[in-house]
Amino acid sequence: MGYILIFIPLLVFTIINVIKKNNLLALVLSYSIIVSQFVLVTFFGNNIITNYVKVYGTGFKLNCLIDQLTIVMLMMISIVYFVTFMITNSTIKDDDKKFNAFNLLLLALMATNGLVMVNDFFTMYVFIEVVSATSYIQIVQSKDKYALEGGFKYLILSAVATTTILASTTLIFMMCGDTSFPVVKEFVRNNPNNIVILISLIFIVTGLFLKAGIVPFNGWLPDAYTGAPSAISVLLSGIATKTLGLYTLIRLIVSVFGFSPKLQGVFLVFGLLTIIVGAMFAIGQNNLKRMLAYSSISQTGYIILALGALAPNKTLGVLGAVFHMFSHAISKTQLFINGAAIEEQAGTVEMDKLEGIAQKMPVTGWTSVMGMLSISGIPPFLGFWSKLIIVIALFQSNLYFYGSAAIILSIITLAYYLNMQKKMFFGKIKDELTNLSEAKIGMTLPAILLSAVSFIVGIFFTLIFYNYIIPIQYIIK
Amino acid sequence: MVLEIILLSLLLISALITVYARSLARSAIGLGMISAMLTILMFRLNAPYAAAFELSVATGLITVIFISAISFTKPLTSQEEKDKSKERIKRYIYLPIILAIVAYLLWNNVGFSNILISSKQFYNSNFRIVLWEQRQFDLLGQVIILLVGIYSVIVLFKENKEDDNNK
Repeated sequence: MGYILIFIPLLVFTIINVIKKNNLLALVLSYSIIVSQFVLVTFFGNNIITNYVKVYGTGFKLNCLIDQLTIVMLMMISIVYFVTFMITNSTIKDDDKKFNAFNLLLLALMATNGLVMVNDFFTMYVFIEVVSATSYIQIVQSKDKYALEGGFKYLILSAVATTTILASTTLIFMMCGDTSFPVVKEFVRNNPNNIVILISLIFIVTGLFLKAGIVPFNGWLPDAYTGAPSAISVLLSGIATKTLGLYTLIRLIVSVFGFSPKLQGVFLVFGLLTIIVGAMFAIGQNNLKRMLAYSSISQTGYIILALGALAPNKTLGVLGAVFHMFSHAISKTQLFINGAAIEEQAGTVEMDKLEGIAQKMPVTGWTSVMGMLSISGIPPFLGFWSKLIIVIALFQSNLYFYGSAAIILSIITLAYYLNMQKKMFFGKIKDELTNLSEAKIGMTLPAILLSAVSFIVGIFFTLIFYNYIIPIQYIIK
Repeated sequence: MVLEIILLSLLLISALITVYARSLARSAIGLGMISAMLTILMFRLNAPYAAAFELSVATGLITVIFISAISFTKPLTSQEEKDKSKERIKRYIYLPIILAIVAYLLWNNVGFSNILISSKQFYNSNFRIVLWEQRQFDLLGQVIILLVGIYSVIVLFKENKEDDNNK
């Protein structure tokens, strides 16, 4: 029954476009369906878990797979889309453009909900394409030079990724006769040394690394995040890299290909390389959004590093990766909301033109401090627990070098964020910024909400960890 | 078997034409040729529905869309064309070599004739059943992408008229 999460936004889309075209109605309906999705998934999650294998000729039933990993992803999706709707409502002023933006966000919500429920390679390909298509269109909405450049780079590199994913699906279909996950899992277990399966695995890991923004495939990420309008940067950083690249990788490893030492080696090396390159490039940046984009690349490296940790029963690495995805989505979304508020009020995001603005925009300043502490891994925020679990997983797998490297690079994360705070928020205020004022309630409320979530869930972290993250281990056999 | 090898080599040659062509319109026609060769291959491999869709969509519709998009651009002078085509040939000189190496490796190791024959084994069910009953989740995704397409046309092209009116 969980696939109603795709049909309800489709119904709202039909109502908005066919029956009554009104921005307020669109906003109220969207808020209500997102809040109801969050409540359904958080409190009644166990009722929608299904591994439905379709019976042919029996009417309308979808072949979808909803298990504990999907529940966590749906929670994350609902939080990020709720906040994105609030920011879109505040930043876009023109009514027609706001209506188009709401419709595109609803379509993206449908597609993302569908992507986390797939049970089939070809369906996964279709939904990856839909989420990418909605992202391209929303990046180039403003049509200025940097938006078009970022969107164009994203389009071309994403087309390469799509080609490799399709090639991999074709090879798998040729060998197994069917593309659904259980059939391929059975085939891989029976023929472990098949060369065509190895080639298709290489192709699909390359394609998903391109979508996720792993070094050396991250060329599109800084330009796309910087050029996009602020609301879409929020959506891209919170959802697009995580569901397109990282969730699909975790799903393929857990449900189809299984763990293997060579794959573990690939993940460890690429993860460490991504953390280092992202951190090094983020130190010297002047543009706030570009620095946050490189920081996103760096944190994605932590998630890939966690997947390479084959802890004694193979589960703690995956749990650390999923938990870090969740905490990074919340913290990075909140930092991008602060960037959106600054761009709205001061007109620029260059850090050397803004100094001491925390005196005039206190809410933005203090919530950015909380976001910074959460991402750098300072207790008791949420980011500390997720990084701790990753480091424990690495140490338990006897990978002492990678564990120590993860801890030391976390200090560099703190360094460039402290640089941002010192340059931008705290200091003497410049003369031309004296009549700056705090952003409207529509932009400060999401920031307060997200930093409250990261603080409270960080303190009561056992609540979310034992109820939602630990049950994922039951799907890893 | 021989006919399929000839068709595959014609496909590769038209792909090379697409990369090395002098002007954009010739590249678009090269893409149409690739789709035409692929259509004939699909008919040979006993997949008539796929061939029909490929012919109408890829060879017909996509080539028309490309040529209409190219008609919006300014064409280059013949001297610029010659310089750019020389530079392009120099940049992509490695392509035929890589294609030949990969084709040779596939022929010897994976079993080239195996790949072409095995696609005949899985054509065993009705097109109607496959689309409407086995692939319903994909259909939902494709409905969503149609709606995304409609909105992308509205977002990208409608505002052009407003900006032109304002100017």
